[in-house]
Amino acid sequence: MKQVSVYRPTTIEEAQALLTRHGGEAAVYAGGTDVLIRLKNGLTKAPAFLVDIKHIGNLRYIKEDGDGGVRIGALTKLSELEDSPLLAKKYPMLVKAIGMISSPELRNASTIGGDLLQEVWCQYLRGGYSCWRNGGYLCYGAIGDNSYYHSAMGGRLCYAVYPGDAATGLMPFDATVTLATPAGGKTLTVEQLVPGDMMVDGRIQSHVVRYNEILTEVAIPAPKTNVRTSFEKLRPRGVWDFAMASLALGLEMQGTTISDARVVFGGIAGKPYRERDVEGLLKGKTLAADLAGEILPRALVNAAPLKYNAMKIEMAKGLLASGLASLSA
Amino acid sequence: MIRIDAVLFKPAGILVDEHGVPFEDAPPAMAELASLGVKAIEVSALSEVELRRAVADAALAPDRVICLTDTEQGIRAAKAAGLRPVLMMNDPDDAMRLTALDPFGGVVSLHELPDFIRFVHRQSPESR
Repeated sequence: MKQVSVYRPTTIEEAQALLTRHGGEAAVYAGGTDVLIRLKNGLTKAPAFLVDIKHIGNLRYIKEDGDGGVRIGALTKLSELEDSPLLAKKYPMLVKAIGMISSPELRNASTIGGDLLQEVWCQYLRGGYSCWRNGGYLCYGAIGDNSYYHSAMGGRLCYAVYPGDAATGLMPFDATVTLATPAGGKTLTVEQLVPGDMMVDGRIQSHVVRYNEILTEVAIPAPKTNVRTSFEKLRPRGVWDFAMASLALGLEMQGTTISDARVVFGGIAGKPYRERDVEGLLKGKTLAADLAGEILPRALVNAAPLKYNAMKIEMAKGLLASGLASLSA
Repeated sequence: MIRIDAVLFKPAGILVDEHGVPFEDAPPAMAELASLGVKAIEVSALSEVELRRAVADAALAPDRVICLTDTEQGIRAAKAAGLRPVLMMNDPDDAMRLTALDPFGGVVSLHELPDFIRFVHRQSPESR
């Protein structure tokens, strides 16, 4: 593992100054369950300077805001979200999604900010192949074993899937994040935060956060009283594994009629994949047990599976069927 | 910093299929390359001699030229001519085998080539 220097700033401004000074050689260090593994994996783009933001006050909280929504500090542990009575009461689907991330040990260490911004877990990248994210100009996942960690919805140079579950679970609530930037605070929707592979500061990443920006807060609007939600995740084992496919579903109801919908798949694309065509199809429909039969043939029609991962699309459609069925019960 | 001034290729398998029918991603990719100021140069064969001649005729520096190919012969000829071979990864298994020849890079579709060049151009010691 390469030698690293660790800074321990106590203010956001100090942290940003350090990140700015070291450019691409520095990275934010919080829970460490991603960045330290990148170092252990020996990735060429792994940082030489860690800016440990755990000593910055006021970044670890879960609190209700004046509008009935909830604000979560970026340093809040996933286990704290999982155990939060406030979140359980307002957003049980999100709590379920968080509780299915990795293992209890890792949820004790991982932060919500880190989960949102984590690097992909492609076995070729983590195995040291010289790919797009590791100093090279080729995606080995596109031509090798792409059964698990790779997109079935196309790609842009890199074909790894976005691995996080928190973003998938947050998007049906129209959650937003705040970034501290040198020019001041910036608010983005979670969908804008993780739009899929982007060239940012000369590197390919799944999110838009620049090298000297810091994610500080997640904000979730007040839950609507007439919304039904569900989250399901398929993975090889019951803990630890990333999603082969997952689905966060939110249906706004007027009586038995769906008035609005959020359909967000995880584990199948380079971003949490919001299936807007299906959302449009669901609007105005009666939520009934046979609804999936009408919707499924028109879901994920833009799928572009690689050689070994067409089953991800079938899994995702299966989750859509079971999600609609569970919400109609 | 690496600069790419031109892309050199044999049309069959890159721009057109074996029947001469253009791939649908070819025209937009070629237009985008032109907008980047990158020349697209067709050659009749991927041999070292042919590649050297094409590069000389266009007055290009070989290490600033990509040679798109999906064959072992193409990669070897490009390297021998001092060009940067980029795998057109039409067949996944063939492409994985050909990575053993250490090509400069690879693309799944011609559609990716402009982004490929943009990314190469944006690499610098300061980048993260």
